[in-house]
This record gives sequence, C-alpha cells and structure tokens, in this order.
Amino acid sequence: MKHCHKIIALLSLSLSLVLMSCSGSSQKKKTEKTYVLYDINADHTGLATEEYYPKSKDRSKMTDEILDLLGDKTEKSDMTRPIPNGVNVQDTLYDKESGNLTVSFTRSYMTVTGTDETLMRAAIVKTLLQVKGVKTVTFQVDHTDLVSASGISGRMMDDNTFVMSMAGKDSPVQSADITLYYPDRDGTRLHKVKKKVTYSSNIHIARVVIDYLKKNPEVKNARPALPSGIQVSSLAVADGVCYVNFDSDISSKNNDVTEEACVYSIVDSLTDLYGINRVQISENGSNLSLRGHEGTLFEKNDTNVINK
Amino acid sequence: MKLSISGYLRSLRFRIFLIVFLSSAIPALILTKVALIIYEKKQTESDISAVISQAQTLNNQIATTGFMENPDLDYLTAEFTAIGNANGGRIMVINSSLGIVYDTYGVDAGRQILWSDAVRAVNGETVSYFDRKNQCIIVTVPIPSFTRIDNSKSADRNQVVTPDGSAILKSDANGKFSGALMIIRSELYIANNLSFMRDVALEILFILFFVSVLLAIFISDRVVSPVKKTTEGIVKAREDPATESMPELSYTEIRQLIHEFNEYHRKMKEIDASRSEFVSNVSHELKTPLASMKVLADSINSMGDGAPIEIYRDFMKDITHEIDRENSVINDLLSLVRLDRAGVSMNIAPVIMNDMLEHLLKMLKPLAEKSEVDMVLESFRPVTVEADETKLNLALMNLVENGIKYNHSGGFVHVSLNADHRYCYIKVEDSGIGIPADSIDHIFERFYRVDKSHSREIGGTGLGLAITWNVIMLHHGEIKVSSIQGSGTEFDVRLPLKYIEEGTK
Repeated sequence: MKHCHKIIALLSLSLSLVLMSCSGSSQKKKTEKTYVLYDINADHTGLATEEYYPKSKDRSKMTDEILDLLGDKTEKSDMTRPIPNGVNVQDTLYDKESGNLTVSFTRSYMTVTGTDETLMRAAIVKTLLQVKGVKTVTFQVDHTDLVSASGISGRMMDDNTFVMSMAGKDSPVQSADITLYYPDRDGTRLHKVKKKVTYSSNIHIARVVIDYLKKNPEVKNARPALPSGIQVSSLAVADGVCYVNFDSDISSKNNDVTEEACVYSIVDSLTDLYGINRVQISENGSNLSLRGHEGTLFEKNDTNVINK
Repeated sequence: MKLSISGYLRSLRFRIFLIVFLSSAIPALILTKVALIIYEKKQTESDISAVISQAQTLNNQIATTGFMENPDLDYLTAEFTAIGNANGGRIMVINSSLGIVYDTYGVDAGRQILWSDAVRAVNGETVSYFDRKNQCIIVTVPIPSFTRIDNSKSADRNQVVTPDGSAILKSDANGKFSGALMIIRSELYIANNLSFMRDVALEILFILFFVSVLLAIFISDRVVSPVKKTTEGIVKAREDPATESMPELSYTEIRQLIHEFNEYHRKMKEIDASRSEFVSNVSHELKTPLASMKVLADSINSMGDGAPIEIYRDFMKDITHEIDRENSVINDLLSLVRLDRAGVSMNIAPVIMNDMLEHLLKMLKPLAEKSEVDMVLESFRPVTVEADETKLNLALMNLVENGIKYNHSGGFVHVSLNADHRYCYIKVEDSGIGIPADSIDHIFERFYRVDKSHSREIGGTGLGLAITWNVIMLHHGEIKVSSIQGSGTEFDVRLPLKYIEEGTK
C-alpha cells in the first residue's frame, strides 16, 4: 500500500510541475514582444534581421528612432542597414483612422534602383509595421506617390505586399476555405464538410483537396472518399477542366462505398474550387466512366448530398 | 553440458550466423541507401536541367513580346498554364524590381518577392533549389532584356526575330536583365519511387535474412559438428580409459587437435600401465623375501625335533639375510616415495663435493676390497655445489656401488670431479659387465633389472638408479649413461653450481 501512495504522490507532483511550466511560458509570451530591425544581407540577395530594443514605444518617437537607425551603420558584419547615405527622409505623416503611415523621401531616393530599391523598401516597411498602430505604409518622393520601376504602387504597403521566400522555413503558405464531400456509411450518399486549410503556395489547391479526401472525416457516419495509399500520378487544370490521374483504382479498397459515390466525392469537391467546372478521372492512365453516364467528363452533381 | 542463453550467444554456431548475416545485410543496406541517394540526386539534377531548357525557350518569347509590360497576352499565358500543368507546378514571371508580373496560380501577382534566389536570378544568375519538404524543384532563370533596333543587315548571335517578323531585337550591351522566370515543378513522383524502391529493398532484405539463416546453419554445422564429435570422443575416452584413439579426420585444425589428444591419451594410458606395473613389482619384491623366509621356516618346522643345530644356524642366517633384504627394499621404496611426492623439501646448503666423494669412497672401501675392485678418485679442482647433501650422497653412492657390484674381480671404478663457472661434472666409470644396448633406455626405471635371473646373487632392490635419477632431477641436473656390454659403463652427471627453485635448465 505504501508503494502505491508513493507512485500517486510522484505522479501528481510531476503533473503539477508540468502544468505550472506550461502556464508560466504562455504568460511569458504575452508580456514580452521582441522587436527586430530589417537589414540587407551581405550579398544583397535578401533581408536579414537584428534584435532591436526601442527606447520608447510611443508611435511617433519609435517611428523616428527606426528611421534614424535604418540609416545608421550597424555593428553586425554580415548585414547592412537598408537606407544608404544620400537618401533622406523628408517627413512622416500618420493617419489615425486608416492606420496608414506615409513616409516622404527626398528626390535622392530615386538614385536607388532595381532589386536594391525593392529590398530597401521592403526592409523599411516591414520594420515600421512593428510600430503600434501602423497598419500600412505609403512611400512618397517629394510628397508625390511613388510608383516603383517594377510598376508596383508604393501605396498602402503591408506584410502581404511582400513574398519573403519560396522555400525552407519561410516558404509561402496559403490559407483557403474548401468544401469536401465524403461518402456516407450507407455507401451512396455524400456528406458536405467545409474546412479551412493552410498549404504551401507551390502546390495546387486541387491536390490539397484530394489529400483531404483520403483522410478520415471528423463527421459521424462519414467515410474517407479515397484509399489512404493511393497516389496522384498527375494533375492538370486547363480550360476549366481538371484532369486527375491516379496510380490505382479509386474504389477497389473501399468495400462499403460505391464507385459512383467515390467519383462524385472527388468531382463535387473539385468543382467547388474556383476555375474548375468539370473533372476527368483516370486510373493508371485509363479514363474512368460510370454506368448510365455518357463520356468521361463529370460535372457537379449534388442530388445525393445529405446536407446541402 | 546444457547451454544457457549466454553460453549460446558465445557459441561458434551463433557467431557464424552473425558473421554470415551481417556480411550480407550490411553491404545490402549500405548499397540501398547509397543507390537511393544517388537516384534522388541524379533525377532532380536531370529534371532541373530539363526545366532550365523549358525556361530558356519561354524567356525568349517573354522578351520578344514585351510580356513584362503587357502581361495579358493570351497565347503566352496559355502556354504558361500548359507547361505549369505538365510540370504539376507553378510558373511566375518576375520583373527586374522583383515584382511578380504573372502567376499561373493567380495568387501572388502584384506582390514583390524578396527571396534570394529571385534576387540572384534577376541579376543574371540561373539558380535552382530542391525543396525536399514540399517535394518540388524551383528553378529561376534570368530573362535577358532586348532592345528593339531597326532592320539591321549585320548577322549577330544575339539577334532574335519577333513572331510577326517585323523587328530585330538585340540584347543589351551591358547585359542587364528584364527580370526572371520562376518554374516550380513537382517531384512527388521521386518520393513515390523512393518509397517503392525502399519497399523492394526491404523485401530483398527479408529474403537475404532467411537465406543467410539457412546458409549460417549449414556452414556452422560443417564447422561445428567435427568439434562436437571430438568433444564426444574425449568424453568417451575420459569415462572409459580403454577406448581406442580417435581417427584423425576432418579439417587440419581438428586433425591436429585430435592428434595431440590421442598422444596425451596414450601417455595417460602408459602412466596408468606403468603405475599398475609398479604396484605389481612392489608386491613381487616385497613377497619374494617373505616367500624365501616361509620356505626356510617350513623346512625347519618339518624337520621336527631331530634337526641338527647347524641346520638351524644356517637357516636362521638365511632368514636374517632375507629380512635385511626386505628392509632395504622397504627403505628404498620409502625414499623413492618421499622423493616422488610433490613439494618434497630440499635442504639446500653449500656442499664441498671433494669431501663428499672422498667420504663416500671410504665408506665403500670394504665392499670394494671384498669384490677385489680398485677405486680411484680424481679431483681436478675444489668444487662447491648448492645441494641437498643427504639426497646427493645417496644418489652418488648408488652409482659407485653399482660400479663395484656389476664388475669383475680385478676391475676398477674411476670417479672424477670437475667444474666450470656454471656446472659441476662427476664421472663414474667402471670396467664391469656393461649394459646391453636394448636395456640402456630402461635402466632408470623402477625395479628394472637387466638380468633378472642373477638379481638375488648381486643383491640390491632394483630401485637404486631410479632414486639417483630422481635426485639429479630434483637438483635440475643431467645424467647420461654410455656402455659397452662386456667392457664397461660410464655415468656422467652434471649439476648446476647454484640451486634454482623453479627448474629451468
């Protein structure tokens, strides 16, 4: 009996320790916000960051401090401050209603061109966006709106204006709302499920939909639409038609689900995406056709959907 | 003996299995891993190459049609879509200020891209990146900028004709670029292929495992069973000493093992036999005087009261003689047994050999005179040896006594003593009856008599030389004998001057 008590005491002690550390860390996150300065990296191919401790969190003072620092020299050896000598800030103007900060530069701004200008602008804008209350940044030269050589407007820039990287840890991630149709337990009817998903921009959203159709839907009585081991050999979208080629049969391993239900799970889910009206499905290269349906192109059919 | 788990793990059988399995599995695993790595690398490299070619074709069209300023041209955007689909990926056109002019996914157009690969490409470098996490390759190729020039007659490498054949474009002299084309191609098929190949490799590994188990069992059987047979043979020989020696079969190492064991076994049998013989010899030697005494006593008893007193006297003399004989046999046996015992105590002290030999000859003088044998002692120098005096005396006395006993009347016994810086040399030479050649190897054996028929007349117990040999060995010395039958015998003894506890010669 003593042994039992010891184990229980030990478990509850460790559990409470874990809980305390958890809450402790989240509290820590709320109170401390870290700031960075965006610089240009050593070979001028992108941005780099360094730690920044603002002297004041007041919007006006912090803005001025940032613009000063960004024009200074840095102690770091592998990056340079974005604003070069010769480029000067005329003044700044903050609009409280819209949250837009307008920064006007002297004409000397135009001496910076090409990728250097883009990087400089991105560094200044991203650093300024950290200031409390600044939602967008507008650049002007001599109080005239700036249109950069790339033809992109310098108005109301925010984080969305810039794509940081295509790969690695900063690889671009999209979020979208998709609709998925899963077969019911009875094998013929379909459940409609809405989902918000995030995915890499490099993948077509149609692939994401098909990946989700393989998973177990978190809805009562609904089954996965596709066997989990199936792979997409190729997927193409042209002229509103989505051509999907699978490497094996879509319904052979799904014993309870009819082939028709499988097909319309896929077709209805894909045609709900923007730009796709019809779907052609092939299994290992041979086009799939259904009894009672003419041709190999399928359109959306929601007659069997339970919760339209 | 039954094998425990740890005993089995240490066994030859298990080790052979391990060796066979590991020597096939480890190379197989390494090979698979290397092959997969090389495949992935080669395949992505070749795909990157193909995509760069695609890009270069498209780039010319972008440059000549002025797509950068006018990203609505239908046939170009259709081509981008088609190629994007074929690649299972995305195409983006980027201008010289990193603005995204066109995106086949329709998502990022209008934004500015700050990725280092894009920056480098827009400045003229062709860059490729393998995004392993998302299984795609990203190739960014610079788009050269062309300036329109009027019809020129000069043929130039950098000239391109526009689609409508109107103008001729020439790339900028300073080589600036109007932007870059980014093509993203899905490499999912590689991951699928890799996992398929891994499955195949795993299946092969299983097959390899079973094959190597069978092979290992087979090989270890071949190796281990002769060893097992030998072990069984040894057990049989241990339990029944009368078994024959084992046949020398199987591979060389086993043969050698069996051979050495057979030799050892034979030696054990010899020792056993000689021990039995010794016991029977001892019994015989002890019984013989008693038998003689019994005969004499029975004779006297059978004569009853009428036996003359001379007969009594004679027979009592004979009985006394036999008792003496029995006594000396028992004494000699005891000495021998004491010498034989492991851990016999040696009383080592410096012994002046000259004095000992002189004293020894003096003691034997009566016997020598009676046998009419002449004794001479020759000492070349004073010799002192670290030895057990009592034992050594006994040993040397046996030699000299034999020299007198096995001699003719008028013969001689010549004892000489010499030494160098390490050893002392004693020679006992006689002109006696000698030892036949076939007996000379056996004279140091216990109870051995060259001529058993005359043993009673000559006297002695047959143990003298055995004792001598034993004593010399205890002193880590050497004794050699040479003899010519009918002519004489010579014994050469060599003793180390310093006594060493652990005997190495």
